[in-house]
Amino acid sequence: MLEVKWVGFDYGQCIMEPGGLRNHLVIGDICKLLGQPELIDERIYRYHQLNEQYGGYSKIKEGHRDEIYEYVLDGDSRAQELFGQKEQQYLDVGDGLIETLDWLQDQGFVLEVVSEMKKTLGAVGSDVVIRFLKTRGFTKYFPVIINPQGKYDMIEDALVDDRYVGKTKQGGDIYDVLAEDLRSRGIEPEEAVMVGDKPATDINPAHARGFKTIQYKGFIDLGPSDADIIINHFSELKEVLKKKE
Amino acid sequence: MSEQNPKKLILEYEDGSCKVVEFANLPGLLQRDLLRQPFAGGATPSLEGENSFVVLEWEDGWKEVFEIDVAYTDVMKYYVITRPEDVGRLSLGRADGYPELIELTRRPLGVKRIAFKREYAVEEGVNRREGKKLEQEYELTAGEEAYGPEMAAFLEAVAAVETTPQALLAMDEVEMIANLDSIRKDMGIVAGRRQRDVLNFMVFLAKKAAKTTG
Repeated sequence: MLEVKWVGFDYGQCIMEPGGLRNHLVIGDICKLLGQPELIDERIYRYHQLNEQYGGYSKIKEGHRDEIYEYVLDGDSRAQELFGQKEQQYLDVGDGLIETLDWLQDQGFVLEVVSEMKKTLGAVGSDVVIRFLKTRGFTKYFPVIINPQGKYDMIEDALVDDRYVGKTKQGGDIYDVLAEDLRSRGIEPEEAVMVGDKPATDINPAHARGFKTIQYKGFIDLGPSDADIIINHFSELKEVLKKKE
Repeated sequence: MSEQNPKKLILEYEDGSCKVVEFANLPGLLQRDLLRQPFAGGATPSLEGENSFVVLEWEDGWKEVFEIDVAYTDVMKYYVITRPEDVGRLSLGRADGYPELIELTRRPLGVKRIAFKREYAVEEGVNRREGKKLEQEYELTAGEEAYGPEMAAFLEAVAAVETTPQALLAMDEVEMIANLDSIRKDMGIVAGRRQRDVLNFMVFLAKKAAKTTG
């Protein structure tokens, strides 16, 4: 049992699960909406080719998004807009997460998102991560998101702490600033727990700085880590966390 | 390419009319599908040009060969994806012959209504497991004549753009297609496998509406 006051959640493959982003849904819907259902198979094939070229859909989206538009979707600007919409529509939420967040909030834990926002597109605030958190109603649990572009208040749409700018989870320095930030709010690092899937960004650097850590393997198992606890379903958080008064 | 590239695809219709398309403008998968058919020389070995092949052998001794473009030079990787896929099968009967089969891959477990001749409410029925296969059957309850909701949406969309079904049907082809496509977007309906299907459906609705509205 971990007795803490603050719970930080990773975004990708934790709050948001990309398992629902199936090509026959995203590309299929786009082609049908554009009146081109005959091109679905060809475009999915081209998307598979990009996947082989760059070694994964997340890598295509991080560095080769223009090729999705130009090569897969034939440079059609309407398709580009629809692609952004469909990506949002088919992203899933971790199983049992909402019920668990309700419970955590009822218990009085402070909840915040700590994200590397690597796949961020567009200015902070209108990027895909914050858009997802807002449209799915997560701001009622997480009013702020801490990321390498600063601490962002998603209710007020404002950058509220620029000490985080340029700091990363991978480098670990984002957790140095987070420790300072929490201390100023009366919370020590050992009274805070970070929940995430990636040992190299969510678990090990946070653990090394005195944070408690929980590795979530419900979507993907990224191997061993320094995590204090491993969970496979978000509902397990109710059994391993206790609010410290 | 290791084989000769076709230049054009010519479709000759029963009435003698023709449609000619540049082969290179066809979707790549369709080009490959056509070229592998026996009529396109698929069963005749080529004595000209260079060839490049992939041979695969299975643990049970089974071997398969794939000819590929000579431009490809090395193997990148091999992997297998295993995940359960939901595929919906809607079969439509006729008096004689085999049924028509429409396969659905877009969230088939989420279908709630089928309209064909009649309206059918779709409700979960028996769920069967056969080994690793799961089969969810659906109870189809027939209701009113089909397409009532689409007709209502069509009439609303037509009125919104201040036209009539009769006026739509009297338009020249280009104008009619543009207008029908715009109206179908307002109705929120798309074609499942061929764009012409949804445009023909719009014409069907327009004709039916023109009859009833005089």
